[in-house]
Amino acid sequence: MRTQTIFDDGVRRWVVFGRDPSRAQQVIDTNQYLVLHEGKGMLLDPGGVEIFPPYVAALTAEVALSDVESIFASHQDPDVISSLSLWRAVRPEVLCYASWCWTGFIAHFGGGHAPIPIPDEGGPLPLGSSRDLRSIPAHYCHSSGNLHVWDPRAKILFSGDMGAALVPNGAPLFVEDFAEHIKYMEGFHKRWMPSNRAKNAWVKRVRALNPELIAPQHGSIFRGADVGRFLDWMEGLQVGSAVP
Amino acid sequence: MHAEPHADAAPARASTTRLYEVASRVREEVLDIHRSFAPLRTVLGEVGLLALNASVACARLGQAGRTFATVARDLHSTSLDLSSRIDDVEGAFHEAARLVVVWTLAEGQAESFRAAVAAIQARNGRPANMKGLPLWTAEAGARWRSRAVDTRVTEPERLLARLLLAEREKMLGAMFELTYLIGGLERHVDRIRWAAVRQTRYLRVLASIERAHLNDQAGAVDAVVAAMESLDQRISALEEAARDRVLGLTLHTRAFERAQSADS
Ligand SMILES: [Fe+2]
Ligand SMILES: [Fe+2]
Repeated sequence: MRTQTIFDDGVRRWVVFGRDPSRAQQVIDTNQYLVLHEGKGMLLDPGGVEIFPPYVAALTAEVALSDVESIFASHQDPDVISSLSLWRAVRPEVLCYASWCWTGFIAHFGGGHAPIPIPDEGGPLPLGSSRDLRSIPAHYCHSSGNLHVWDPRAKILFSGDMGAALVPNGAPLFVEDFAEHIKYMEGFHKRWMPSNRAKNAWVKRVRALNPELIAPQHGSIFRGADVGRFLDWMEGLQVGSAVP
Repeated sequence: MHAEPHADAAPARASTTRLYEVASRVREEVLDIHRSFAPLRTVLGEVGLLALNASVACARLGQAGRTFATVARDLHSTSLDLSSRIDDVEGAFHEAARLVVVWTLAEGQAESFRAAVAAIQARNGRPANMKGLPLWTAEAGARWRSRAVDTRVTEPERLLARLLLAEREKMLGAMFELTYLIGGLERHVDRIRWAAVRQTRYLRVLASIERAHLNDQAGAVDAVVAAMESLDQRISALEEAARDRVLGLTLHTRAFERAQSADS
């Protein structure tokens, strides 16, 4: 599994793990993010059971398991959080945060207790001594209880399945040619995103945050001018394609 | 539940009767429901106060209290957020109460005019032929409209018929407005309920997590955490009580909508 630091100011660090060449081919590729604050870590969408072994291996090269404080699940999907019971086994003290919509459902993945329910409005996510990370609403994008993570210090938005792309093996970590990239995300957004109204509300909210990076759970990260290009493209897209 | 419309009644009349029945129940309950939400305002005041206490506790702790201050800040914005939502609902309830008054007064006036017509008919030795038909029905409306221009009846009867029709319009207008208002209110109240429960609960959990980080240095914070726990329990109890109320409202509104679509 590849590891790359995408932000580091000496206090806060964002690391992305993914593009595992040894990944079983029936499993959709995912990006796992680690946010560190003064060495304390939070895992954003730690992924499924299948990728747990290589992820633990890659993660422990960056942070001791005892310094992993918490896990954040953007929604309930298996590629997001089905590894929860394994994480609870290796780190029993870990806190898990998820939308109130899904806590009772995520508990089906095991691990003994349900995540801490985040209200629809989102809220603070403590990490180490920092209190600036927040979950923000992204409901119906695509899940009915969906939250993203905003880091005002790094100006990074972790956007779950928004901006997700089903890229071929070896695709670059950052989007390099936006026009080229569209074909990897268009079908996904049209079919997996259910609501134009919800999608447009999300675009509006994200524009107001003015992120420097939009980091999705699948595919490549948007940076600089591609952030605006992605938001414009998203705004114009008609989603909910399964209903004619 | 009230009985279904009589099988022998004309369909249009049956659904209008249903409409009136449903709206009447809403009218009876609106003030009562309003009262049942009053404790929310009290609890809200406590959330605001707690936010203040939490900030004071943080300030006392100095640097160590910095992390707990996030909870205090969010608690404060939660209380402001809920406060503005409750303002909306209270505004709507005031409007609902006004509509109830308009409706009830107009209905009373119309009934008086109808009684006056019956008295004139009795004085003139004619049978009271406009009795027994509920005022809100389309059929009654049509009959009184023709009565208002009927040159075969006396001038006072025509005048009373016109007055009665005007009151009937007011009454039906208020009834429709009230029911629409209740439809919107249901969503408002529902949002407050959820927000109050989930936001305060999330902050309560965060407060306990923060408390654990502070070890033994933070007695002042314990009081805040304990208060948040009791608040959480009370809001949950309130939420449960409110749930039945809102369910009742929802059933009425749905029944009204159904009756309305059957009527049109
Ligand atoms: Fe998903
Ligand atoms: Fe996903």
